[in-house]
Amino acid sequence: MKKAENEKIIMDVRNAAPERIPKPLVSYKANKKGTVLKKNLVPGSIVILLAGRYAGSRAVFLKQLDSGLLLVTGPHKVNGVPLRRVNQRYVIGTSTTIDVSKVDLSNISEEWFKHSETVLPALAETQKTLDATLLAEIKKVDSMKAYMKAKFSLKKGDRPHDMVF
Amino acid sequence: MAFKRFVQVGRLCVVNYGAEVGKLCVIVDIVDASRVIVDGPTTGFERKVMSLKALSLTKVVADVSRGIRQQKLAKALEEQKVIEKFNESTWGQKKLAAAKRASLNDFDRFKVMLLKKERSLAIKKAIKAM
Repeated sequence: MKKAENEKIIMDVRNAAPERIPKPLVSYKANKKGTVLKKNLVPGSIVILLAGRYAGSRAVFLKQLDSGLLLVTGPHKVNGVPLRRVNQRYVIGTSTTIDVSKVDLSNISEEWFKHSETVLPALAETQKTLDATLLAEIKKVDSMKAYMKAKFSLKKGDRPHDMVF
Repeated sequence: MAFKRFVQVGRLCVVNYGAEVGKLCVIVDIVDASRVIVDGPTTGFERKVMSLKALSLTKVVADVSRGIRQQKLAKALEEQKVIEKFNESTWGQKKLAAAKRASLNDFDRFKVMLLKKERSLAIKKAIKAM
């Protein structure tokens, strides 16, 4: 078969062997499954925040948002950690949980956390009611409030790889 | 007698070296002056030859015959309450406490810290009152 100098060779897809037909490369851009929640995290789990403004604080994990980030709160009244998004990679999930079945998270949207000035009153309102519900649950367990107030730190002799959280 | 704990068939031992560190096992047969055949049916390791250097003898002896099979050994240990006897001893209590301490979760460790502070305060008060 004679080819003209600038002629491209076009593959006859109908007759070519399947392994010779070019396929598009896998796109890793879209994370189709979404962020998988760590196995031990359950709504109501107490988590230890490891980085950022509130590093060392313990917070209550409320739910996983659509973006894959975790929604946590101190509660604010207890230790100053507000309703906040946090990446689960910067968090240690402990096996302690509190009951969050009575908590209403329906009006919380991710838009609130994108620093929109107009949303602040709604956020403050939700924070207040949420705190009240969570505080009631926290008070049911002995020493839980003091535990939530306290900060986590590694002390001499602590071996994090050996510690059970 | 100068020695009280003998390497004998049925002697309960604690492994102090190697992969099975900390586990309880029973001497089932003797190979020579430095090695024994040991079996840990209750602590989950298969019968094997171990050097006596890797074992620490406890004061508990099970009444079993030489070369007893693993399942029969497990049954005998349960019937004679061998592990329970060990757990009652000071050594046994310490091992249990260490296991408990290792299994505490973050909240438990916090509660322990509060209790330690409470105890320390009570001690200081008692000393001051003297």
